[in-house]
Amino acid sequence: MLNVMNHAERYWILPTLLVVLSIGPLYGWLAALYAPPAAGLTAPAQTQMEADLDAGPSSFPQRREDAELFDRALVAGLLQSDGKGRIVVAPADLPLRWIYARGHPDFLTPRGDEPDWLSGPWNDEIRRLHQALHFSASGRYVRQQIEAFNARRPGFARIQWRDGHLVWRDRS
Amino acid sequence: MVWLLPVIGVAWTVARAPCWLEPHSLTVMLNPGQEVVLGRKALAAPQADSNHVQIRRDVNGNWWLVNLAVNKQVLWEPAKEWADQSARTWRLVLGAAFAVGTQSFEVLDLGTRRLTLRDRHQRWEYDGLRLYRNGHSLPECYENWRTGLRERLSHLPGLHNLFQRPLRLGGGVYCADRLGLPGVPVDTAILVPVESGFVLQPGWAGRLDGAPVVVAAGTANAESLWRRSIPLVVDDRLIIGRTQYQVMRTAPVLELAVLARAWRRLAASPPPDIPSIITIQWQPETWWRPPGPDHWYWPARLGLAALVLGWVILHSVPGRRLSRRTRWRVLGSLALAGTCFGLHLSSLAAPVLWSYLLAWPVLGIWLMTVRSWWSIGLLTMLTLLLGIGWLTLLQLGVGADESGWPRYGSSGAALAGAFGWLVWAGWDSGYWQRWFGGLDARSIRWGQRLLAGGALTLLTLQVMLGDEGGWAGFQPFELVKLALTAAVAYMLIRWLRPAGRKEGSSNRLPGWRTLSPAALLLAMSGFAVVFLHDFSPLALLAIWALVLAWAWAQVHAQSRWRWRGRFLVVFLVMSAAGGLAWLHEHPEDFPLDMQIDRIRVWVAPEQYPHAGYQLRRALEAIRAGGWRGTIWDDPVNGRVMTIPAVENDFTLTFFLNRYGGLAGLALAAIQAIFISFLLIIAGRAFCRTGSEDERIAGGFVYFTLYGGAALLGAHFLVSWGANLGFLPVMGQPMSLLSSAGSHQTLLVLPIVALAVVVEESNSDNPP
Repeated sequence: MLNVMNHAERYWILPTLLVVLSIGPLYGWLAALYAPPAAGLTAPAQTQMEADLDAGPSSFPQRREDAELFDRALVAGLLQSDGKGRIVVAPADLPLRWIYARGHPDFLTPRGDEPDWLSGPWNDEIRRLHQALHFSASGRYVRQQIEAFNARRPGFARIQWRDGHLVWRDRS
Repeated sequence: MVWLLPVIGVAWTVARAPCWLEPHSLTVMLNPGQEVVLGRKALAAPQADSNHVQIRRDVNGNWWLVNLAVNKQVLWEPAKEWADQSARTWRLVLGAAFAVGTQSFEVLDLGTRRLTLRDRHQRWEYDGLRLYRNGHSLPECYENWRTGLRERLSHLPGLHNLFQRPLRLGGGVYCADRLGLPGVPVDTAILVPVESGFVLQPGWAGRLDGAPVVVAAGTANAESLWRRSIPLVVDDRLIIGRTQYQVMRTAPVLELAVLARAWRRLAASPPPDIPSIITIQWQPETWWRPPGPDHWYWPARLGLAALVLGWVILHSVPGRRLSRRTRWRVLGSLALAGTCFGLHLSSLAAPVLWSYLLAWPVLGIWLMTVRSWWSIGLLTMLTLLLGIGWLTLLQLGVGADESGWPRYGSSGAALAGAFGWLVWAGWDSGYWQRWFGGLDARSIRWGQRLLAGGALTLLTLQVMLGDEGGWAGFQPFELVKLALTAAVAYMLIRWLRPAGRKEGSSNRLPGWRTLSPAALLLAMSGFAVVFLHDFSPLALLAIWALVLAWAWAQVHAQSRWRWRGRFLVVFLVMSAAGGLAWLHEHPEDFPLDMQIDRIRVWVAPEQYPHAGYQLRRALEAIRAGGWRGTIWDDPVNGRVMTIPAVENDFTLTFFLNRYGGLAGLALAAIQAIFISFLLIIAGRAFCRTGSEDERIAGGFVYFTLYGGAALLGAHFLVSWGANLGFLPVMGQPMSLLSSAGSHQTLLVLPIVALAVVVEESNSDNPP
């Protein structure tokens, strides 16, 4: 087939091929995206979008990344109670404090009234958790909720004391 | 005809644009001794807090402003000064004292390069780079190659000031640029070196309700840094939230001209409910007429400068004399290029349509000039893609309720116009034709080395002095892409056709020839992984490498290498697709720590409302647009504007939301044809016959265009994938659609220009 084509005709194979290869899968993907959801699963797209925007990122039914982060940060000691019922978040420069605690302890500031953040465990897992707590979108949300809890407890719904433990409640 | 389509689109967009009223000026009427608190509505500042500033008139009739926002800024540029500063700024003076938390500091010594402080127990010195405690130098906070390089470079003559950095107050550690303070979060306040000494400012963790910072401590003038008052006099400039103002008069009332990025309202809607002592003067959106002579400053100056420079060059450089008519055409093109660049610099304030009006004609001129059908085809596709991009960004601007959004479209059009007119000036004077005619192995070698050296220098400056958004207003990373493409093209053609040997004979690639491409590749990968913490540039590189491998196999002299090469590329593509499918099923097995969230969001966005916020919003907006889009029902953009980076990485989402899926399919088809035209022109360049130098030049162009087309195709693919969620990558701007001036000017348009120049030089040699 190719042999009987002249040069000009052969040139058109490439654009045609690329157009077909791009349009075909794209059409399939968009069609799947636009397909109406099964009845009862979700609201129509625009309504759902508006509902999410109005409710903020807390209108998800399942247990999510923020709840997970809160629980793990509590267990790792990155969130502590200050004895007055408030939650204290580990300082943003804790990884640097750990480095200096090992190499140059004389360059650490006196502790003052802060909790002793250097008395707990520290490993790669906790370092990653700390990074998520201070430098990720979910961490920012968790810290905002903690600020709100500290200001409004005990009437704050998201975080509550239950049986002496702090509990993150998902709103459904 | 094709050239007219986008013009019709722009006219249609302007005709259907909502009728906005923009604030022209604010008038505050206060008697001496009175004060008022203003917020978002009264200031017409959409990013401001609800109670952002307090304006006070003292008994002498002077006006004062205090920033009341918890953690939002007010920037102040006093009249006759060129740099703005935070309203919460305090200039240190000898003998003065300040306190952060419970710790007080006294200023013992102060110079342009030296600050000496004393607290209760210790003496601190800071030279703009390193902190000393009681005379002993403190170690770098994080020892790494960047800090080491910075330290070494700062000792070079004249470079110290370039590498100065603020001293950060707070935190639990004393090190080179941190002065720790017990119980005070790190970065609560910073001491910034300036020309005349040092100033105290809030750091990123500084908040009105956080640790107290008191200036002029221990004196009658002691006040909180957070509540510092600034005097307002005529010609002062302010930025509140993101909205820009200028003080026009202070008696008998305070009048602020609203310069840019203000909230605007529909003409049919009622004015906002604001205190009666504030009056807002509204005016319709300016499409053509500049609001004041200030808006001519950059376009007129740069247009004139380009004209003069062009005149000097044309009259001083020896060579072929141009006819009088051609000379004036060239000078006119240069003046228009300068004007366009000036419009790019003042895109925030210039009338909306100016850039489009200056940029569009140059595309028409190019379309009428070129002779080869492939050039015409390529420029037609470019015209359509640019037209779609400008139309989309124009709609983004005219449909938004903030007056700053049109700058994205204006800036992109202005840069494209500047590039187009500049290249046209070169073409009309015959420069490009002579350049390509004289292209030989030596000039290619030195050209690509120069490009690589320049790109790497700029990238290093970005790493040292800039951030992931760029340096000095542009993104050197895009130039590195172009340099890498050229360097690898040169390496491949020398490998394929070593000078002095028979074509296709067996040969090995000398190690030194790989030096430049290897350095660029290393710089790009390292920059992406270490600096950007993003692997989407690696995805671009992977696609680029596969396409280049295909291009190499395609033209190899030995058929066994051709088939092996093609088989290997197909195998690698299939493996990559298989790997992605596997990763979708086993995201927990992703081997890298970096961007693991991205993989998880890709697999299950519903479980990651924060990390997957952008993608979820994008998918909802695309669904809301459907096949036909929302533009037909409502000219106002609405909630799609809340998607982060909607003007850049997620412009495609905006396009699909407003114009629908059918328009998306058309866009993808045009992109595919555009890429294929680039590849066809590349193939035609390789078939060039003649001397060894000419064949090397043809081969170099072949690989450069293939590499360039691969990068553009990869940008298209990655952007589609990030917006629709079928690829686990962070966004990349979609070429010729998103607002990405550096990408367009440093990568896309040079590749297209090379293709056109080469094809035009080649069109007389049919394949």
